[in-house]
Amino acid sequence: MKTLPTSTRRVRFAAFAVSLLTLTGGGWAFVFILNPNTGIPVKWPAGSITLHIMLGDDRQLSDGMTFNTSAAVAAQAWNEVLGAVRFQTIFASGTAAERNGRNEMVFASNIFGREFDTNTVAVATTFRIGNERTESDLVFKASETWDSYRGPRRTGSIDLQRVALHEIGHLLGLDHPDEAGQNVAAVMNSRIGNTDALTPDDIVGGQSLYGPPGVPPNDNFANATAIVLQGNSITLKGHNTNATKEPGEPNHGDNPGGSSVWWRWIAPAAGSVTLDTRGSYYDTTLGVYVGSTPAALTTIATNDDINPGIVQASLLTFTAIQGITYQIAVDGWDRDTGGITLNLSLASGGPIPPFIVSQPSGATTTVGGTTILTVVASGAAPLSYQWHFNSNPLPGATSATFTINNTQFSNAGSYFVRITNSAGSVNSQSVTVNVNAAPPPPPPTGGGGGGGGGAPSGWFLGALLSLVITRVLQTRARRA
Amino acid sequence: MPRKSLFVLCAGLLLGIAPLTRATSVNAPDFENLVAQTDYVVRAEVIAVTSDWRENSKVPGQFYIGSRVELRVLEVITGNPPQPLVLDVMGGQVGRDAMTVEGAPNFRVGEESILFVRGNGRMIVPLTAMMHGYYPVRRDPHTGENRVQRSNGKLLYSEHDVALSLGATSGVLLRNPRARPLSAAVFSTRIRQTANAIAAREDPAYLH
Repeated sequence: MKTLPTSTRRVRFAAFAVSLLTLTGGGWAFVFILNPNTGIPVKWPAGSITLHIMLGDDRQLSDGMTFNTSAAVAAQAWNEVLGAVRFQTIFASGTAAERNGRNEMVFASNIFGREFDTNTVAVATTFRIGNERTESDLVFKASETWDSYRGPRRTGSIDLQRVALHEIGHLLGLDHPDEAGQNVAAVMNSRIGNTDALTPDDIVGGQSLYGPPGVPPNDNFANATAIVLQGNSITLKGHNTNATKEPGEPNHGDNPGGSSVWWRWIAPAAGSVTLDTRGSYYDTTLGVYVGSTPAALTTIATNDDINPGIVQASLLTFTAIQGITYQIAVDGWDRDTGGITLNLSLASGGPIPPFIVSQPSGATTTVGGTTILTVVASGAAPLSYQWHFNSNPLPGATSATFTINNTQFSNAGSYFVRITNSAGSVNSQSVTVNVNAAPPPPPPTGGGGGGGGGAPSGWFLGALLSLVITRVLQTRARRA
Repeated sequence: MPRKSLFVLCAGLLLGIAPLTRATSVNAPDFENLVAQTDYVVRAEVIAVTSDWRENSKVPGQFYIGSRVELRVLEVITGNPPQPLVLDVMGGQVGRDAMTVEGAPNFRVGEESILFVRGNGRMIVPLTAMMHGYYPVRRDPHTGENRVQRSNGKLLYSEHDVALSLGATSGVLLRNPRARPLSAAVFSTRIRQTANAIAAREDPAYLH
């Protein structure tokens, strides 16, 4: 069959036709290239990724760059937003040799002796072992007209930098959101467009695999993030990029790991707890403990894989005791790192009774001021609130926040709130509201001969009247 | 606002966004080009996939993983495919080592598809426009009818939709949400009709 003349066309590369994973929540659209055997993104181990840029530096392009510098700028753009990996670019020359343990960016007319399709302008090839990338090469079709420029896409030439941004995204493990049915502005979309820089969706996608720069806030045991259930369960997000293991910290899931992050949970009711890391973007390990320091923890349960080597998310169950504080660690197999999804559910045999997350605090208010008392509680919805004053329920004070406008001395006293749901009720701690007299008005200012004194106060007149009445009564008594 | 001014404003806005919506260099071939660029089109079932290490024929000592995709041809739609038909693709898995060509279709044993084959043994992936030459055929669980999908699993409602981005929604579906996707038989017929039309135009005996 004769080939019709065609205009330049480009076919971009989606996943290796594996199922695509979309991040739930947050409205993000990015997708990953997954290991079809494990369902986990195929990505690089933490550390430096050396990228040999062999595109040439002998030609000045529209933006003043060379092909090499333009590609290096693309790599640097990713460096600025990623935590676990960093591209180290090396300008090199010579013929690209694939499957040589080097990550190379080259112009070529074929790959391993195979020709490009008419419609294809660049191809990314990846070697991997398990979930781990070992070598990736980005091959740009030599016969295309390449340039480097910012702004809208131009007819007749392809901006190498935005294609490099996109290809490096593939090299990192990102796929095309638009081909997964998502509608978002992204360099990772399958078509080259006017987007010439990383978009928030690209960045969050990359950070879901490699974390943002810096250390996660819950790296240390002492800084564990508190968990508060929403009803009977909760899903939490986080990452363990650049996290560390503390001295004396146990191994989680029978692996030394080394990049653990911590959560802390006080069981609001007794019951069976299921904890898992499904939805995480790396090979997690998981442990639950009780204790107050990482070196003195008692293990409750740990797990590495749901299905060893196949389903590499972690899963465990344990029986919780009401009021006990559980320490939860998520680490990575052999220090693997990435985005974490932690799912916790409590089956307490019924709705969870209300429990107080944050107690109200006492207050001292000036007469005429506003007093606000607040409680934070959780438990099976719906929760109802009833504030009490000196042990008596206050009509209308039935929300989590109780406000007294124009506070008077009569409002001083003891307050607590009772929180009730279908499973029971709980009283907050009692707190005291103190009411102070309004401060005296400031003395008049300015020169002159002092103030005039003003009218006598009510209490003075009252005291004077009492004194007069007492004297009159005493006099009458003597006469009698 | 006068109607004319409103029209000018709307036109301006449309012109302003036009580059965003149409500017692309990642066009899939339109249906006629897809057919024209293809050596042969078959509906086939994958019966085996075997991968091995291979040496670059042009650079000795350079190795990569390739796969042989053995197919049972269910229907020859256009052209003259060899028998047996074995696609030679880059990428695959050997033991723990795997090599991928991002974007190449992943062939699984037992799956049926309509394949636009081009440059088998010569191209990186021997399908016209890579994933745009790959159309899985799946049976509707309710009607039992074969339905044609795009490589990302989206149903194909018109042969002209092959030119759309894989993420785009078919215009047919936008116009009629109850539209039925193409069956394998209808898609095959339209491929043949288009191939015949192209051949007729190229026939020196054809009278215009």
